[in-house]
Amino acid sequence: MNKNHLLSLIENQKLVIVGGSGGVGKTTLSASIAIQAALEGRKVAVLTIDPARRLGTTLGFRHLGNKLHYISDQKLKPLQKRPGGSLAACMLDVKGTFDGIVSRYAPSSFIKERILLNPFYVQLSEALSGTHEYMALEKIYEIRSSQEFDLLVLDTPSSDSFLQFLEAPLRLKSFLDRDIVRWFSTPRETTIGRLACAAFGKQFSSALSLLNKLAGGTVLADLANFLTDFQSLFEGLRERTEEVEQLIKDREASLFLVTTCEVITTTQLHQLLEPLKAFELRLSGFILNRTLDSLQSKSPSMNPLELALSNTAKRIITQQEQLKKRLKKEQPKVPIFEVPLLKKDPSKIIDLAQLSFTE
Amino acid sequence: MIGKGGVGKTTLALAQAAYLSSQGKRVLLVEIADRSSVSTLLGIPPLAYEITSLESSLSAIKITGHEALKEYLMRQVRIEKIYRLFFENRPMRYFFDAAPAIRDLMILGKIVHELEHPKSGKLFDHIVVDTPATGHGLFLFKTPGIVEKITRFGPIFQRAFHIQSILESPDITSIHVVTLPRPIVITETLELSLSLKKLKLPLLNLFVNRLIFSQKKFSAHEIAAFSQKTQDPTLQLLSGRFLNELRELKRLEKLSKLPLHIFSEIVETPTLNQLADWFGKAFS
Repeated sequence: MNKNHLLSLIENQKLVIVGGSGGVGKTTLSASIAIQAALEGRKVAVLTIDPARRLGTTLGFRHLGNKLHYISDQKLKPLQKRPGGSLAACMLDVKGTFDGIVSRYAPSSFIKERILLNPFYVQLSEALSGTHEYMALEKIYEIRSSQEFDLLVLDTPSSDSFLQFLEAPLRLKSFLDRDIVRWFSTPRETTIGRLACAAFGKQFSSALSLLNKLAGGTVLADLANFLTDFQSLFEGLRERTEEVEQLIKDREASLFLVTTCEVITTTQLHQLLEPLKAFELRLSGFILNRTLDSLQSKSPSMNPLELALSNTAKRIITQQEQLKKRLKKEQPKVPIFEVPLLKKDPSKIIDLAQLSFTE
Repeated sequence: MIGKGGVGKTTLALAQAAYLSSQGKRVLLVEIADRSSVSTLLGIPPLAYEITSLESSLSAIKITGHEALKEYLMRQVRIEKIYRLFFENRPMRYFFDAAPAIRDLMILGKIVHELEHPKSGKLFDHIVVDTPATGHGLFLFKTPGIVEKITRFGPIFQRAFHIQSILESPDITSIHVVTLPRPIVITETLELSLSLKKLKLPLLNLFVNRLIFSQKKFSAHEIAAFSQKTQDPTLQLLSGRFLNELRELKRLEKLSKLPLHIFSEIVETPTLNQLADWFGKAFS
């Protein structure tokens, strides 16, 4: 039993990624890890990719936006913060970050405006599947390169998009490497896709004209414009992506998977473990959230309320023991940290600072 | 059925579908995109893009954007060979990758198609849709509007327009928001309801899931008294938590204008009958 073992485990880490399926408490635990590291004297930034606004609520911001907000020293001091420690938080705003990239890399303000107004850009920057993960990479890069922080805690979206997040560097790279942009865009002054037709034959031009008919005549022109303009951003993006990819795989990065002991979340955890192997990521620990201590009274009670509560407790405890056994068997080297169930889910900084991660 | 991740959307969608089917209705349960929660919950093989019967009057399907798009395009070109020639090539796949809104629209399109032209020729009485968690779920509902903006005219524009009109119609669509009796989740749920209202979607019910146990069984007084009295820290914790949940329910009753339906824990890996029962009791 070591109360703060998780904190000492990440003492020398620069990036902590917190993953897991929806509703298991990733945001709360990310915030708690960040606060506790800050109290130990580290300069910490916590970034949430989850589109919900939880982190802001938890840390007491009314509007947690795309920029890093520092939590005032006054809030942290009463918690006996060691000198030097600080905590900043930010919520990934996909559109804001995307707009930022466009502004930074666009070769001219004319092209910048044209991209920002293009309907393809508008929907891509609002869509969550895909874009979200790229923007998270960009934000990680931004925070890392500011060199203001020595620890970045990353609260990821729920499982399926978590995998997409890990795949993002790879996908972005293959996207950038493909000469596909040319297929749609090079001959845009003439007929769209003439070049592509040379490469793909007549059926491609038939497909394009059918698509034009289905989607309205301006769609392909919009796409061609968008891709050509967007191409000008690619080089800068590619470099960053490679750096972030390195950062994620670095020895100084750790990944924790959060789960609760319900059958559904346990199943989802296992569905996540399999594909994870492909990412060369070091799994630093499981965090088993909302655990219960075993009952003290062994004798069955006559009081129906006590009986009902005991049965609920027993069910939860059996499940958590089964899960621990299974994880220990499957991943004997990976430590399991337990965070106890509380009367009320922690929602204030002081609660988060006191949360224990017991191994 | 919409709500943030982990609140039990799938359980409730499945339970509602099972309940409606037990009332003699023909029901289709729809699971969206790359999830496989329905099959996990029931302990059956993953659903596919094909209507499968779970019970006499209850069927289920998993709709992915890719397959829905293929079906739509197939309806336009009619011949599989032509579809493959035209659309199963890298540039085309790329085009649709660059337009996730069109792909997501096709998911809604497939649901509308099953509503209006079911393959069997016999209309479903109800289609219950288990949507992805908040963020993606909201985007899904925004897609008709987004696609209308991208295309501006043409058949896909008209399709988007039609889908939007069905989503907005309170006679056809009703949105159920799922939440948990926990402070932060409730705050988020209220925000989600606002966003849905802005999209002009007809909100109907608020389902509060996973109360430790049914509130009808024990009064708050009784629980408070027990919490004071008990010597066992675990039981004290659970009873204290239950009291807090009841408090959150009260808060929600005050803040939300939607009718509340309250669901307590259900057994793990329930059968369809148990689900239907569970839903019926809380709903009536």
